[in-house]
Amino acid sequence: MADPLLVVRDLRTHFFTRTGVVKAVDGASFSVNRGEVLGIVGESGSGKSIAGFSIMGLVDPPGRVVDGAMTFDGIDLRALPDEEMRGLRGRRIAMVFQDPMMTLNPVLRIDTQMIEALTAHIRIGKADARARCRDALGMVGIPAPEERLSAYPHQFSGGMRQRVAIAIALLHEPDLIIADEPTTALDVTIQAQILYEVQNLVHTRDMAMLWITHDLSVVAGLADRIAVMYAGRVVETGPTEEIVERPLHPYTQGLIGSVPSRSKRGSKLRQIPGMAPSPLNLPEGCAFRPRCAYATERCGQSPADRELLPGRWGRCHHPLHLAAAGRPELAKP
Amino acid sequence: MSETLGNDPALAGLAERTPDARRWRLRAETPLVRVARNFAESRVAVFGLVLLVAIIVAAVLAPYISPQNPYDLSEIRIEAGELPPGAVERADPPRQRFDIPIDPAAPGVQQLALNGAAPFTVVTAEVLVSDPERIEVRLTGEPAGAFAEVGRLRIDGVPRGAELTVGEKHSFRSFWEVPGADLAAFAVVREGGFEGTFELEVDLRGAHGEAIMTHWLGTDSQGRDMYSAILYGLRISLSVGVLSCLFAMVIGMSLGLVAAYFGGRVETVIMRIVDLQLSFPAILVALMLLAILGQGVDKVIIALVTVQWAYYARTVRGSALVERSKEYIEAATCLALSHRRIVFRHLLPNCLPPMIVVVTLQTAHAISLEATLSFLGVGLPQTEPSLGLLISNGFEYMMSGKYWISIFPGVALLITIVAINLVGDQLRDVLNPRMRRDG
Amino acid sequence: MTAPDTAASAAAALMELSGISKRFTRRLDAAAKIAQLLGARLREETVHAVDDVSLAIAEGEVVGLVGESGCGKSTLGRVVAGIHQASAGTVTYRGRDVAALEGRERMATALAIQMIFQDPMSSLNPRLRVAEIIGEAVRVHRLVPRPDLDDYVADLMRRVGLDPDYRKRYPHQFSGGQRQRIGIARALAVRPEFLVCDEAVAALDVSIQAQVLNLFMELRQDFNLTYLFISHDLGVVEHLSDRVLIMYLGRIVEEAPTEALFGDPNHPYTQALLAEVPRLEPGRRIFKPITGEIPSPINPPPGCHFHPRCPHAMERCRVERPALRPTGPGRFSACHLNDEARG
Repeated sequence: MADPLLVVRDLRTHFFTRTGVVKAVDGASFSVNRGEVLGIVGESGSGKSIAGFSIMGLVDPPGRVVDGAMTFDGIDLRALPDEEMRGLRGRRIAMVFQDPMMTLNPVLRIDTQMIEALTAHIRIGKADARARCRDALGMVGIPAPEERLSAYPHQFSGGMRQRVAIAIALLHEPDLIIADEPTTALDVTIQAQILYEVQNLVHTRDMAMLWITHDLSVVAGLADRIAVMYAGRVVETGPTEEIVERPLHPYTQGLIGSVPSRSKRGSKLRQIPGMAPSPLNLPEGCAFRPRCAYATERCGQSPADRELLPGRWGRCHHPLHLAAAGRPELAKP
Repeated sequence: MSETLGNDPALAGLAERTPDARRWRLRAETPLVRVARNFAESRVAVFGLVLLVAIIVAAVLAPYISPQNPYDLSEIRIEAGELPPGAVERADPPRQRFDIPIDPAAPGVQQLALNGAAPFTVVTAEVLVSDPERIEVRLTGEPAGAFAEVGRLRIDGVPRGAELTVGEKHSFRSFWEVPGADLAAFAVVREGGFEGTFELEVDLRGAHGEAIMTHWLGTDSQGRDMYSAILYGLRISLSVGVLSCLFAMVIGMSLGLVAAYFGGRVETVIMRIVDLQLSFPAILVALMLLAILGQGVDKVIIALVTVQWAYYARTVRGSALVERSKEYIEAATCLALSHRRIVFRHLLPNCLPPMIVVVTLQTAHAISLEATLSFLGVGLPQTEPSLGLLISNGFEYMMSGKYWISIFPGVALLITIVAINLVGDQLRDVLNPRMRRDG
Repeated sequence: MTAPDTAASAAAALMELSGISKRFTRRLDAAAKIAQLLGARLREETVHAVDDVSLAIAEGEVVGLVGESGCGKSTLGRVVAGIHQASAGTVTYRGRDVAALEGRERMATALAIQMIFQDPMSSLNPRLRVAEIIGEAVRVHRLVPRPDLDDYVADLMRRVGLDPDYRKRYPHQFSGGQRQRIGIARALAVRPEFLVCDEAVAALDVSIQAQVLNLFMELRQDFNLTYLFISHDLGVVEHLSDRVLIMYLGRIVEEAPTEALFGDPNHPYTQALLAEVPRLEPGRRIFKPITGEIPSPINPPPGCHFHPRCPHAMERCRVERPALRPTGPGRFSACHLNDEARG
């Protein structure tokens, strides 16, 4: 297997605030290959978005990447000077936000904005640039792209705006797209349309994609692999099917149990008790310990990220389902 | 999923995902503390606040801290009028009168012990008749150095035809005046000698009266201490400004809230009146009203309320429209709470932050409007001079170089309004969610 | 479409809506009217948020109302909860026309129907303490003697899973899930019989959402509540509801018992929704979206509102509005295809 396009090892991004150090990301490791969608799943405050911003180099004070390694196509992102990082951003790594108006300027026409995004990185003639923008809009399934180019953002619906934002991200045919909750604000039918386009793009263009979301159901159908984040850490990574079928980490199990469609109608949902801990004041050891049904004394020690099954990594002293998988030695404390 | 972060609600803000991590502000503090902290971010605003507090304290405590009650006629001396800044006002100089009996037939030294009041406890007159035509008088006094404080000597009773060796005779009265330097010794001279005894009436006058006070900002034409007058004027200006703003706020806010809450025709009628009101220049409306109503504090307040309520109505309607669409108002409707309760207990408290800003800035506006009206002579009566009236009173003296009567009240007005505006501007930045830098 | 057509029109119906429409009109202001006189082409815009909807809800039933944004489901919920007045049609509660009630009865009905809101932040008055938020209506309407009010509020807080020690706190000091519980306690305080939940769990994290959904189910049993559960999330609705209504652009397009609807959707729009909802099932899915945007409710397409996006649209769909007709036991659907099949 070729080297992964992006490798993040033990990333730590902390925010040094008045009230204390917020360990927004506190030990996140994952990797993405070309032609692959990695879903990063976590609840609010789990640090999944900050992990995305850290890769993009968009963490502003009081936040700082304090530790860890991020390698993109052999380039050490942490050691990269600002100037080169800017060159990389938008051209080789692009980002799509939950709110497309984060990317779009409401007072400029779409073509102006797209051409600007193009000429920021490459020298290109006006006619060529326009043609390229039109192609990008067509690629994300916008009907009549030539006409829509001269429209203003407010003339688009929410779903269309998100398509335009994705088209802008695609302009330079980046190697990696980081998408932060891009379909959360959209309706089901519109979300499906966008998921459809994204799925096509990733597989036909051999791009890598980080799909950050709180909704396990969305990535279940889209991502090749999933990384589950909890309280700043990646607690489990592995191929989507295996994680959904047989979660190893009790938190993943709880998350899956919480999704209504999985339980029998009318029965109680298998909820996770309690609430996520404050990133200001994480519990010692495993952060999930206070909510975990399987917690023992040993969980007071922080579990290391280890390969629990082939291709499946996790941070847990008591991973589930391992006995059934025929590797009982790992399950024992 | 927006704001569920876990058991520390202080961190609810963390859930707001933005590309700009600066917006990660933790909300461990109460809104009031947050407002205070954000306010303190601007040093200029803090300076303005300190200044404003000082001004308000000074105005409130004016009767206790001002050296003079400028309205008490018994404290004001017309003699002290138009003193320049820094001048010391003094009482009338002390006087002492005594008689020196002189017998030219008894030559030689005669000593007279005279009991007096200030500046001398004892004055001794040595009378020396050395020559039939010349009688020398030397005055000494106790305490010894007190003659330095004597301004002049007035001597009456000089016999007809006689002259004093010092000083000058008054042009038509009978006494002689001796300036300070020569008064310790003099002689009475008469050609042909003296006839019989006579008595010299000596009137000693002190050079300076006792210092009453220093007028650091000078006095006006009536002899009023400007500093005291400004403190008292500030008191009136501030109370007129604050009172009219409070009344205008109560009226404007009630109408604005009613307009926003009920909408429809009610809203149209109220807001059209507001538009009409705001389309007239405030000063013009106030002038016309005062021309009809006449002078007086109450009338000025009525005029100011009339021209200002519309601002409050419009502002509060804006924020009430936003708040009204929020779900807690729907929840209150659902709980069958009365309209009055919803408007005043749910809607009103949530519309207050923008109102604080408007109140602050409108108070400054009211103060300057009142000053303008008083300056034009239609505002407050002379018996209750506000800053504007003080400026107006001093204005006629400007050309004669007595700048302080007009300028200092003007500076006080300027500082007050600038201080209020500094505070108001920063409050607007802090309380206006659109301009707030952190979510 | 008339009321007797609907499923639960039996005498047991607790809440009945017949022919409910809600229109919002943006009137022209004075400036626009002058502009119009001068020849500008401005018209009053009317949004048919809810367009002739009839439904009946039996006591103890949980009815799910599903639709995408702008379909009018929240407006319908607010008409049911008495926050909006319907532009046309009648709301009947326990057999009596709500609009005709007076005085004490009117108050009793208003309190019997309560609403749980979507946004846990804006649905609580930020200036009031929790005890006041929960207890205000109880105190104002004198539902509980004054001395017992504190205990009553504490009991309610305990019931929805909040520590009564927190009753002196302000809403901003709580997390989203806790705030939603406060909102639930506020509604329960006036002893309602009927709860309208408008996207009540949409703003919550998955694990917190599960906790709140479980709470709703417990409360249903304990207080014998009837729910109208409005959501865009099919999974949540499927889990909770006995019967499901699907709304599209102000109209109900399908109505059926939950199993029947999810097992065998009749209306093409329902079929599309079910096909596209992301499900937590292993295996990569190939998304096959229905095309097109949701049309603007200001200017909806004629005939069947769904026809521009419908793969089976016929000529008739463009002109004639399909009526909600029975298609099976307790099942209704508004689609011309059913007539074609029958005919």
